Amino acid sequence: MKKIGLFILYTLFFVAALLFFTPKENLYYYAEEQLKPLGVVIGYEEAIDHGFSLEIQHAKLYVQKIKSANISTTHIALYGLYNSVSIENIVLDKTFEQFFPPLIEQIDIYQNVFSPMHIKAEARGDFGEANATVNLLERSAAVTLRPSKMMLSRYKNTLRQLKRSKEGDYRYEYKF
Amino acid sequence: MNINFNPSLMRFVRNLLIIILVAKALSLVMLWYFAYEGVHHHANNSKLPEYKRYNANNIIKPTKKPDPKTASEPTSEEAQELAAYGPNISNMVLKGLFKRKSGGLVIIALRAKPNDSEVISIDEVYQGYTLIKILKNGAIFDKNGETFSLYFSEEQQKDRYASRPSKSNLADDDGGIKQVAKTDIVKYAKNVKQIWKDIGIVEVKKAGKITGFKVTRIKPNTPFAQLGLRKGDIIIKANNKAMTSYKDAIAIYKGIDKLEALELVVLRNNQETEINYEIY
Repeated sequence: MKKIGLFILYTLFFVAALLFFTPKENLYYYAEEQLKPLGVVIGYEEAIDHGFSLEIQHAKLYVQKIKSANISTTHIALYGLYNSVSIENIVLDKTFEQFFPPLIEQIDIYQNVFSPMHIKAEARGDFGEANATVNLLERSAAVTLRPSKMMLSRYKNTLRQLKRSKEGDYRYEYKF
Repeated sequence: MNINFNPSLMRFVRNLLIIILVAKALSLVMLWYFAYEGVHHHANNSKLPEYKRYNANNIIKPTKKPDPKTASEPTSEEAQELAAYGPNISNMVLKGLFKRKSGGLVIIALRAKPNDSEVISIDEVYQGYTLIKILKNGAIFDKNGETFSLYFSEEQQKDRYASRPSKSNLADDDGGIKQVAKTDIVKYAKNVKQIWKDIGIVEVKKAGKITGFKVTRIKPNTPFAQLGLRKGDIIIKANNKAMTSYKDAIAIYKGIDKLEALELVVLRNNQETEINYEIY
């Protein structure tokens, strides 16, 4: 019993040490390289390694060379058993003002070991609140939006692209 | 001196150290596999598309719509001068133009579809015609080595300045682009002391390094008050160049008389805000 306990302790210690020593900045740059062929570039950011997590500050998001958003802070925590990405204060570029409210206060994306093929996300901002789930097995994603008064009054055209449920939510589903 | 260590504690500590070493070795392997630096966005000096760098207020355009049935004939001396470049393009209509030393743009449409306007700048092609020159009252095109002209109709000629705003309006904000008079810049360049009377700027440092320049005060009713800057703004970039030293700031200041557009990025309430200027 003592040996099993020690084995678990050593394993946890190894995982913690590996997480601590993992070159998180370089891992982030590697992820950036994977996004580049998709036309997504995150520029001008500052990556700060906090030991067990990574913080990205003042990033600018470019999609297909078009400046799309300024992102104030992103916290990335990859613990293996539980992984999360928390993005704060996303200000969409003026180009998109016609389609979507510019300020997204927070997006939380998380995944855990008990359901590794499902990624969940929650977001809130001037648009209202939204939940999203991504099913990696079925290669599908679904977004449920509870729009704010501003979204309902000023962005009717955007809402028309979504399916309205009986509860008053708006849903968007797609396969990839 | 005789020190007795607990052998099992020693084994435990030794095993932890081995684990740390293995984890570190693995992380070094990962370092070799991952990328060494991030992906950078390479932007042009100005992120604005060319047609957006001009203030639409400055475009010379008649208030009356051109009559698609009437072919535009050069009647005035200006138009005759234009016609000397080559025959008029009869199936197109000139709706507006913006001329500056380094180029400009024209707004044109097919006479058959006068509402489908296109904005063309120098060297761009429209319906097979390449825009090569913009004059005060028309534009010169090239097609297969032959020169053609396109000018305002007589009716438009009479009316063409009607829509141009008064000079006092030019400094107003127009879709995020502000107007700055070159004469004001020259005036300040000759009298640097006046700059510090009209605006207060101090450097902002983080960990001993300059990260921007903060506006501490702006004197009302001065050209600086028209720039859209506010007290507390921190200028962090000018024309995509980070303001991380006095050298960067001076480089912009020295070259400002040669610029036709300036883009400032300021931190306002911890959010980045872009301010675009057209220097006329």
